[in-house]
Amino acid sequence: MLQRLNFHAMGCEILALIDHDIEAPMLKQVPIWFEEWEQILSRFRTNSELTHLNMIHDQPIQVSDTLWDVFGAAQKAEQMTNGLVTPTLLDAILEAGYDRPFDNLTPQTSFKLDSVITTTQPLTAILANESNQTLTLPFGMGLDFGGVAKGWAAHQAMLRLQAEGPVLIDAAGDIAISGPRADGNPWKIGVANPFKQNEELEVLNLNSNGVATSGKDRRRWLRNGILQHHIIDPLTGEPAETDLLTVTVIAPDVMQAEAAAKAAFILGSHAGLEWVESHPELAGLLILDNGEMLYSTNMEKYL
Amino acid sequence: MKAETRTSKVRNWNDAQTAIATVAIVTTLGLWNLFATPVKKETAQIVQPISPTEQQPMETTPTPMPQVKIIFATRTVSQPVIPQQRQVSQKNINNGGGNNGGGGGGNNGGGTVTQTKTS
Repeated sequence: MLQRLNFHAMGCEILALIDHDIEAPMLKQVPIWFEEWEQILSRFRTNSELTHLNMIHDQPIQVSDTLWDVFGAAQKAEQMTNGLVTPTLLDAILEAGYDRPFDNLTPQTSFKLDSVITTTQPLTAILANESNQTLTLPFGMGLDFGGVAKGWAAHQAMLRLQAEGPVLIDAAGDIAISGPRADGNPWKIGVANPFKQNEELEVLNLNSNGVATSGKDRRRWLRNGILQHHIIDPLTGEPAETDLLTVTVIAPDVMQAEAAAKAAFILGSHAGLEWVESHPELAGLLILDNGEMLYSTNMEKYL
Repeated sequence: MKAETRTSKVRNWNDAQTAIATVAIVTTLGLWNLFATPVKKETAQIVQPISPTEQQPMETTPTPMPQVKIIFATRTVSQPVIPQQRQVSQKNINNGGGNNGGGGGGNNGGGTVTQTKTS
């Protein structure tokens, strides 16, 4: 029997599942946890800890455990993806007009991407002092943890709930799983068909791990007749030019899955699949604009 | 008699004017038809593709459904791929639950409990 809780947080729909016959009181705590984390990590809240950090440069700021942890997760994502996934693109995103939650953008709102960024500062430009848990941002740098924060939150909620029974946390498609279901069977996760709502292209059987999907099938718009989307390539500062529509990646945890899916998406079908194959811990399903589907070797294990 | 001759002359001149005008109109129309029409067609072809809507948010555009599944059997993507006929577009339609399922016991059995999708 699945104990289920749906709620809205971090600009998306969250689903928490515990596979247990008895009602789990801790399930009700999950929205409270997400609210706490959002208050720390949101760049859209003027009184969040992240907003405060982004306003102060060239001097050390002591940060909370949560922000420190997410910073660490972002560092790992940047290293894993050779800089393709980095939270230091805040200025580029703001310049593009993405300055409020996507839900609040009216249909008439247009995005401009006039300024091209040729170089992006890596996270190593930030002075991180572990002994007193301080971060010193260089002048001009702002952080936007975005998908990393969402993946981290899903992972944390899963860790906190797993004592209650097998857990699945779904943060708008970024999914953390604690282990097999109560009956020993894997969780069945559908891969959404980007061409048709409510239809699934594949069913993944997951016993643990994390899975995430990135793509341009949502949050996109036209600019001068050219399709734009929200995944910025740090090498150009513009939406990634790619022949991929969506990328789904299974990884040891949801944070790695989220970063890997984004990196493969930016790289495109050929290099993206090659990159996924070069990481034995990853499995990927890449869907091209023309509807073609590419499976990495490891994906067979989960089908 | 003089008056009749004068009237006749005026009528002849009017006839001549009508004939000249007719010839001019016919010639103009003929030449117009001969040279102007192809140019007009070309102009229409150039103008047609320009899209009037710019900077409008787009919904997901339905495109032809995937028909081919390609599996890379080894780690080298440059190797030949093995296409397999598989009707991926017709399987596993989400039959309830998902993120909008609300309360209840979820989708046990063959169904999926949720979907991974672009957020």
